[in-house]
Amino acid sequence: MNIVVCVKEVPNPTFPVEVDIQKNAVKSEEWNYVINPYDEVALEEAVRIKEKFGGQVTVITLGAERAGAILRKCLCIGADRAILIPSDSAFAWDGFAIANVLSKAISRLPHDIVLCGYQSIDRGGAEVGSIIAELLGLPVVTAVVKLDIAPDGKSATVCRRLERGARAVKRSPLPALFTADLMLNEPRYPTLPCIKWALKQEIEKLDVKSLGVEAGPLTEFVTISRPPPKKVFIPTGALSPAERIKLLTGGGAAKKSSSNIVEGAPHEVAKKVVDFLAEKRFLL
Amino acid sequence: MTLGNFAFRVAKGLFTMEGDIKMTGAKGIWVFIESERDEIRKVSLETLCEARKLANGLNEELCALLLGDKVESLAELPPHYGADRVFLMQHESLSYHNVDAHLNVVANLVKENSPRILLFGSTPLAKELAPRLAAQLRVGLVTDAADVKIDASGKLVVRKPVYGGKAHATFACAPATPQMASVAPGFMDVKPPDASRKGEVVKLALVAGGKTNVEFIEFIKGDPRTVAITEAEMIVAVGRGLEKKENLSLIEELADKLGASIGGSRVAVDNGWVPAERQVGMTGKTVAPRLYIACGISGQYPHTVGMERSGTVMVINTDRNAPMFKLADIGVLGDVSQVVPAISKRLSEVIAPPKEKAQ
Amino acid sequence: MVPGREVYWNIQYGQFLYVLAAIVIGIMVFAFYRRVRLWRLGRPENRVDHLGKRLRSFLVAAVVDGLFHRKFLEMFRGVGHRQTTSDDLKPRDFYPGFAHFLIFAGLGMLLLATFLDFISHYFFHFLTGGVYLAFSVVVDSFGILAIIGVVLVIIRRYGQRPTRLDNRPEDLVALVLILVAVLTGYVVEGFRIAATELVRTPDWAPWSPGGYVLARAFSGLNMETLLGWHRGMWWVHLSISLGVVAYVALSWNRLWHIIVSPMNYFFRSLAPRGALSIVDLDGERFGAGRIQDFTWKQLLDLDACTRCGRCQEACPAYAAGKPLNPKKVILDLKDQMVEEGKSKTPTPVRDMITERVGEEEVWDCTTCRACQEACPVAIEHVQKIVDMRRDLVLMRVKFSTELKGFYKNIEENGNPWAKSPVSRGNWAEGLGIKKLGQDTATDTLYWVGCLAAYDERISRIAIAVSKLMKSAGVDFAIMGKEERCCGDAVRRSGNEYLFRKLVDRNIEVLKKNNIKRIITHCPHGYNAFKNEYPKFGGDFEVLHHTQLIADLLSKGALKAPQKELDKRVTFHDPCYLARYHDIYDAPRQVMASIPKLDLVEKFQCKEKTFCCGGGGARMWMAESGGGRRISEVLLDQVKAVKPDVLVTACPYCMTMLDNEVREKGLETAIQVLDIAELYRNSLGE
Repeated sequence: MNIVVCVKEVPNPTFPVEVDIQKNAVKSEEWNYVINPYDEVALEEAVRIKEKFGGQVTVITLGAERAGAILRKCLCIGADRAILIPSDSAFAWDGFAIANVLSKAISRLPHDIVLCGYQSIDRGGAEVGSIIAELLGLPVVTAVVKLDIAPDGKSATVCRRLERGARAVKRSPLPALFTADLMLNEPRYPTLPCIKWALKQEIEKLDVKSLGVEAGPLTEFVTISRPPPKKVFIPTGALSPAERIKLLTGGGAAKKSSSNIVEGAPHEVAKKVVDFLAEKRFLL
Repeated sequence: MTLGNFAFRVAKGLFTMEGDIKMTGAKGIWVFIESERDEIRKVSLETLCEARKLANGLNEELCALLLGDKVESLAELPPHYGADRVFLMQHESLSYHNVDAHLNVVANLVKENSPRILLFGSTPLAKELAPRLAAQLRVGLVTDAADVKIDASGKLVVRKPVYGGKAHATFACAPATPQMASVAPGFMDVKPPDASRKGEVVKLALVAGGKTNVEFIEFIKGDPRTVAITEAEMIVAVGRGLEKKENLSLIEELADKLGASIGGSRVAVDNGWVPAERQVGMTGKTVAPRLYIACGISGQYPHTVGMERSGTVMVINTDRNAPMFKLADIGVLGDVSQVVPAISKRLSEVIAPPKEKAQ
Repeated sequence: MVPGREVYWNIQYGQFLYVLAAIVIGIMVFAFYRRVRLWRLGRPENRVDHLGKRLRSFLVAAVVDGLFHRKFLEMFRGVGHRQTTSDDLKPRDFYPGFAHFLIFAGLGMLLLATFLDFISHYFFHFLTGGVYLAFSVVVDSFGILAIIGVVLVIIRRYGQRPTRLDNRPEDLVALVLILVAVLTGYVVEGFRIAATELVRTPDWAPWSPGGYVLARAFSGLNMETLLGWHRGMWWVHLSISLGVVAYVALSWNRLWHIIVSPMNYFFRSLAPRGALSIVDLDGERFGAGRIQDFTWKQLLDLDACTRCGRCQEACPAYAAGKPLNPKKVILDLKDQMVEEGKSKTPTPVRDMITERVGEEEVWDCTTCRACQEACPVAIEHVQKIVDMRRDLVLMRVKFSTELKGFYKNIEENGNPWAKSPVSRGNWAEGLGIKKLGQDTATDTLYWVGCLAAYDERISRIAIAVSKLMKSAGVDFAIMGKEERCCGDAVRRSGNEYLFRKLVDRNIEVLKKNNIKRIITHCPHGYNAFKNEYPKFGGDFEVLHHTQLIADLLSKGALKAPQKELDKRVTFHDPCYLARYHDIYDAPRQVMASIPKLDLVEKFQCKEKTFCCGGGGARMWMAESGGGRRISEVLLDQVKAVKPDVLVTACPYCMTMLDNEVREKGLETAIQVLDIAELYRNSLGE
């Protein structure tokens, strides 16, 4: 079972995002970069499939030279081969352009399964996986929370995450492409022998030009702006330490406010409340 | 690597957007309408209302695309929200989970009618359908839009949250048509329907279903009683104001009527009213449901930090000064044990028993 | 006639004793050799470094510990390595220590007497006349003391049955064998005295009180019988005594501790208490997942254990009802060693961690070092537990989800929180604190640490420390966003690889900025910089803020507090300050400078301090394994002295105690403060 996993480096989400209006860009000088969490889940799934069925896991990324670091991390987790397609503006490429390059690269690799993260946490398009599948002519299921390969290796039964805890169970012939939801698995922490092995591996490089990509991007970046203002919570000493620890490890949250208070006899209040819920379309 | 670099890269011509917009006769705005439990989904209506504004600006026709296995009864509705025309295709192969069938149908329709803009509401179906369609048609797509506009050159310009919402980025679609976007739920307003408005309903027959790769096996309904609290769409949360465990049945009744899940503050967990994995707040889970009903929760920070990203917040409390009211979209001043049963009663008067039906 | 005793009186072929003794010694050597082979299952480790220092401290310890039983009696605690106070002279663990002392001294004296007899008989005839009588009365009395000691021990073990002791057959065997050996000696003596001194020189007889009593009992028998019995009992006594030794040797009875425990003391670690061993990252195996991964000295430790249970009694996790019992860990490892020594298969019969010691146990440890402080034979528990954690983390990746998040956060953010390093210096905004590299060239760094940098409650400690340093004119800077995790908890949780990455990075930055002196309010950071960083090339002068404040106060650089406190205050000694570094006077000096501060000491304070439960990365792990929270047990001790203010000097202790005080709804009754905050509050500003 040969598996190709598409990964992406994303800015560490704990870092502040400040928009420089003059430069029409975000200030990224202090950022560091991590593997996109969805992609890490996809990789973990690939490694688990490999451990069960044998084969090879290849990770591939389109990104800056710096992204070699996350590829190395992928090797630590259990990928056998890592390919970097260098580009210094991968974030700005639109989903189609990225998918186009990746699909060209994947088509050169043996693949029974292609796995992607459901979405990236920076641009959050949730589109690249589906486009790759379309370009490669592969069946696709996105937001997979469960992935079972048939013992004969010819098909896969997957569980797709829908809204409100609902699931759709689907079956796809292989080869196919699946995108991983965060609930699919919990990625492993690498062992030190694996880390040491990974440090010795070479990251292969693939030149975009050699792939013969002719189609360009289909969307164009225009501007970046600050989001509507939000207050960021700073934990205070008034909170108990357990709560502060929980909050700090979770990274904090944001606030909102507005008010509209009704009072009176319960049945009158109930009428107003139900009207409100109906208006907001919460009633089934 | 910043967004700003991109313009530079484009200028250098690694990839270029081909020339100016040439609207090759493409006309009209299409909105892909989805239904759920015999109703049009809210996000579809949001998209439709927003598309109406674009159509007005362009002075072009707004068409609703209504596909599905049982959607005929809904065909009258899109015009109430601004659609000029409804393309209706009802066929059993167009079940919600058959993305391949939808893809084939929409691709053919688009090729035949060449709309200028095609919009989706961002739903599980659209998340698979829209990118595949855009790839097949080689047209630009921006997903999860917070805002859609048309610029002077006629390009569809879309603003969307990036970096987890810490910034918003704007993208323009390439001139190739249809220019596509999917609209994230909750950013746009739904105008009250105008029932007098009528539109033309064009019934289409399914010509060729095309190949279906992925076989749909089963739909597993999310049970609000058991779904993970972080995944719940509506939450009724209880706190100290519940007073006693016996009152929990009142909450359960309300939650069942709404199809909501039950959560609780730390006090509720400590008192054994709700299990620990359903605790909302700093020492519990962080949730962001569409509707959060706080029953007898005063709203100390450890709790509110876990729910303040909820969409609509309703608060029921006897204390007018409870901090929880600051977060309320609607607040009820009263005792949980009286207000909650009254709401449940009113709900049963207003709504028919919940229909057991897949999306 | 001159008083004296004829050796081999009434005995023929007495010299056959030497043959038997030689055989027994041979057996002992053989048994010892078999054991050495077991120890050699372990990896090599140099424990014969600093021989002079080892010998000297061994002799001092042998004299102090051996003769006075310092550790056993829990008295004279300051002797050897600390300042002694009158409090230290009170024995706290009297009964078992005293009983052991009696047996030790009694048998020691009998051994010495036998040796002196031998000298006197063959070489230099000095045991004669008054000297002999004095010798006789002393030796005889010590023998009786040994018997009393054995009886006391039997009463304790089988009557009182304290929980820290687990009785095994070998304990009773050892006690009975001692008793029989000593008693038969008296019987032989009794027959001899009855046949000789009572008849010829009755004045001498009472000088051998033990034998005298028995001799009086035997005195009615006729001479033939007495002589016969004496000869018989002499051989019985000889056989039993040598037989005891042979039996003890071959069965590797607990009495081997007479030799192994002093050996273990000689080979003990001379490294600072807070320095863990260094993992060879170029090796193949990291940490201890099987018995062969320990060093020979760590295996020697297992045999040095006498199962006295002092570690069990001292362990906070055990006291809180958690699965961990340090004594059981050592004994489990010993069983593993014996099993592996016999096993012919290359893979362990039972997995050392999961099937023998238990994973829960390995993770329960807070590395507070109370067990090692209590251990009379210098067993190193903490290192073994960390070694096992290293195996779980680096080789098997078996650890809790919280730890995974903890490591991920440290790797990505340089702190255990999901917080960006960019905001690390935010707490200092507007306080006029210099930041390294920006506006200063000072060589003194204030290391703030992850807790104070992000947690607002702990930031208040950093603010207090910064303000008092500024007021005392200390020229210092902080690193701000350049600061990263110091690695203490990372290392103690077993992730040596991540620790080394942090150390290398931190040393590089510190050296680049020419830092010579580091001041910190965190005892864990203090330990890391003082004891662990030097091994990796980072040599800095390190000061804990309690030391700094005490020093500045004594020099007059800091204003003496003016405001009367008029409150009951208790001080919680952080483990990494008191037990690891003997720093417990400095905070008390600071408190003494505050007018009308009523200091009440907790039941367990100073080097006996009871851990808060947060060390060894425990703060980032969920409570597990049942039992109470360790901090809950600690708070019970605090509540017992009814303080208004609970002072500590460690951000971990602060966090755990503050949390516990809130859990119990005592936040208005007990104020939890850092020593720096206490000082600042009493300035009256």
